[in-house]
Amino acid sequence: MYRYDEFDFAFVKQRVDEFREQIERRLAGELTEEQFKPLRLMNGLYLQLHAYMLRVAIPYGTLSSCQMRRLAWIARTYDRGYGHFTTRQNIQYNWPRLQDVPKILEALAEVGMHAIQTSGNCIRNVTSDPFAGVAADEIEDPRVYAEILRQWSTLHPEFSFLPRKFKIAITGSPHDRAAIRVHDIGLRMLRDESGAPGFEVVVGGGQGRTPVIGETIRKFLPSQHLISYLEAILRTYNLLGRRDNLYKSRIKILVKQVGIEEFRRQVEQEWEAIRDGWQLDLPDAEVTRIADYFAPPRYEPQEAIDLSFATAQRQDPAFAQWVRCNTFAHRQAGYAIAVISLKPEGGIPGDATAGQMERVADLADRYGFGEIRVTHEQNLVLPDLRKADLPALWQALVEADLAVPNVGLITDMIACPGLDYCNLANARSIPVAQRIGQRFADRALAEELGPITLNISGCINACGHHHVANIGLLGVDKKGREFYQITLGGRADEEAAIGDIVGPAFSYDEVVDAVESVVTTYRGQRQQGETFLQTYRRVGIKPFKETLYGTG
Amino acid sequence: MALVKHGKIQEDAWTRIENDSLPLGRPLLLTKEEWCCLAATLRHWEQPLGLLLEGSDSLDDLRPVLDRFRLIALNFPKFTDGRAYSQARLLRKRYGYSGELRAVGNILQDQFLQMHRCGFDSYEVADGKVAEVWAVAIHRYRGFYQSAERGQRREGAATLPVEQPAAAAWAY
Amino acid sequence: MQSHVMTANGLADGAVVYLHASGRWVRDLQQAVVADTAEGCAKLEALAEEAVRKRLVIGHYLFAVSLNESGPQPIVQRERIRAAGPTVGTDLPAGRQDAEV
Ligand code: SF4
Repeated sequence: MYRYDEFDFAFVKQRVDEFREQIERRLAGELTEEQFKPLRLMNGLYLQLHAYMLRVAIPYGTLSSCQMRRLAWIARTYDRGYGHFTTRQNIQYNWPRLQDVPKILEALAEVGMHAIQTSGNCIRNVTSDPFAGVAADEIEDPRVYAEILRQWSTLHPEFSFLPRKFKIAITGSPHDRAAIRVHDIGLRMLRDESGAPGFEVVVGGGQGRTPVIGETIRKFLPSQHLISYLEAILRTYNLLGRRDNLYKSRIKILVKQVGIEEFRRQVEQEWEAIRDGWQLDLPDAEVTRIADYFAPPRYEPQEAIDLSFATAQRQDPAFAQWVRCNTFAHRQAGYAIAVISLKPEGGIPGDATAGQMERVADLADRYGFGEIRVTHEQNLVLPDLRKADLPALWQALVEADLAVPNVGLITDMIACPGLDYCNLANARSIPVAQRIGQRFADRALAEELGPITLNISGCINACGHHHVANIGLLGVDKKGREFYQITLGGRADEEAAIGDIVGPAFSYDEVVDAVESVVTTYRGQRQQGETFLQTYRRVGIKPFKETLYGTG
Repeated sequence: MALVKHGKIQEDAWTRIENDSLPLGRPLLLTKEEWCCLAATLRHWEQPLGLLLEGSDSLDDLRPVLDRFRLIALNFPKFTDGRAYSQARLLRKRYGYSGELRAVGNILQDQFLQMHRCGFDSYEVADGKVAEVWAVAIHRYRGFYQSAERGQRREGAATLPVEQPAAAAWAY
Repeated sequence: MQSHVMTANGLADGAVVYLHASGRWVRDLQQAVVADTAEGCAKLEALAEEAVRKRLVIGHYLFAVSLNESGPQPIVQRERIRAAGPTVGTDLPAGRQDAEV
């Protein structure tokens, strides 16, 4: 993975000093809250319901065991002993004090981490495939360009006060695990006929109040032009995006307003003008320098097939179920990718205690190459595991309460913090997830239902990605009471789709029964071997409506 | 109001059209609209001319006449309105404008550096005290991650040898 | 008129606070001063603005409460959660109980 050099360390240190001074000026009254707010947001600091919240960047969801231990230490020292992994592959602390924030940032800077641009109307932390570099189906490793984009976007002088926030996602596999079609810019790595690497560039996707599946602005962009092309998109958006209405200021609205053809024309015109003369694109040597950090670790060549792994699965059905649900194909023979579910029954989706973070760090050192990933589904990943080590790893996970075999199943829910923490929320998300988790606690049943994504957002900002869930729940406020609107049929992958609203919202007390009714309908309609999504596509929304609301 | 240039408070010599009269003998700052009305009248005007632009003003049509202006002031209606950063870069880099570029309106000292990097030279601020922090702000970072009008990507970065992370454990 | 309580968050620690009759800010909603006239609300607003100027609190606003024997009770869920903390389970370590601001 990328490793800070002196330049990077000095840079984040300078940023900490700058922000410390801004906090001091705020406390001394030299900055009003109105002035301070955009400055603190650009450094990931929110004011939530109960306290400040600090969002720490985990660049494209990749971190080292050493960094994970530091996150745990911060949770224990400055927070309440836990952290919340988010749908943008970051981590949030829910209880820091303003005066402690500089100390937290210093502690992060020491291990090459920061909170730069985890909020604010700027280019946010770039997200990517959590299996980058190890997935069996990968064409190109997206981390190299994710890191290039991380650096390019960091404190960009021109693009720090955009009309609205700006999210970029990048994937290198045909199966999209980074939801690139619902980002302001989505990048899919591919090769042209001559074998040269490049990107399909998708623009104007997004969730929130106006969910939009992004459109392809360029089918193939040679990879050496990535930065100049993105500057052209960003400049066009910065100058033309609406600034008079918060809800219309994202790039998706601009693209819709002028149309993709016209938007493309303007971007390409800008790009033509800057592509060669502005020297924005990185020289090959620099790309190589960064790419070298992502060279594969020293895998042990597989000399024979280790039978103990298969034997262990035969002997222990619980282990076998975990292997079926939580492990994925690795590009290297003899290795596997394991997802550590942060969705225990009745738990808080995405939360990990300091002790769990340390345990995961230890396991990454012991069985992997000291590397950990965060998924946008709010789980953790150990990317490089010898299959022969999986039984021992699983035992250790069981002891740490981290071995729930539910990845991709109905209980692997995404849930935003909702009204329990978030200042913008209409309704709670976490307790709904907890109750659904308990309702579907039967692990065999959950597995029998097959892959189902169930995502919950506490308001229309859609941090819980409810629009792109097979079953989406959106919290709405009805006269101070919590209600939940259900959508069906959404998906976030390469065939991204926005879910359909099924009908009037359900109350907090009714919503778990409503979800169960959706599942029951699916089971009744399901044909041999179908997934929820396949059944839904075949039978449509009607049968679900009928069981939810009666035929009248 | 105070004018900060190169970290010092300077007198602002520029004047605007008031009560429908063109002041003589001083540099004249015009809005784009005023310029469009008066371009013909001002053809032989000998005093320096400046342009005051809003974020919504297009630049393309000004291209042929940019060398008439010694000053271009870009307005920030709110400090969170970032259009002028892009305008500044276009003026400097694409249109080759080399006169003075000034930030006016609602700006924070915290933005000096990024304005400087986008090509601004002078700043109209509410309180002249911030002149003192200008130099600190400009020099806060020893290098940057991207190229702009001022500051090139990783300028001065030590090119350290790339080490592969050792198996199992690597720490900072 | 509906009874109201003035709330805000502490500037330095972000904690939820309520305006007390003494003009100080307290953590406990039960101790908050209740206004039930327009003038009373205006007075709380003025006190809160003063506290914002003194950089004690941020984000102040009035919210509706009902009254029972133990004191003011929030009416909407958001204020119930602000007063009592997250409803996500009780296994969270207890928060720091800082002094009043
Ligand atoms: S979706 Fe709404 S409630 Fe949930 S975290 Fe985002 S803003 Fe808060």
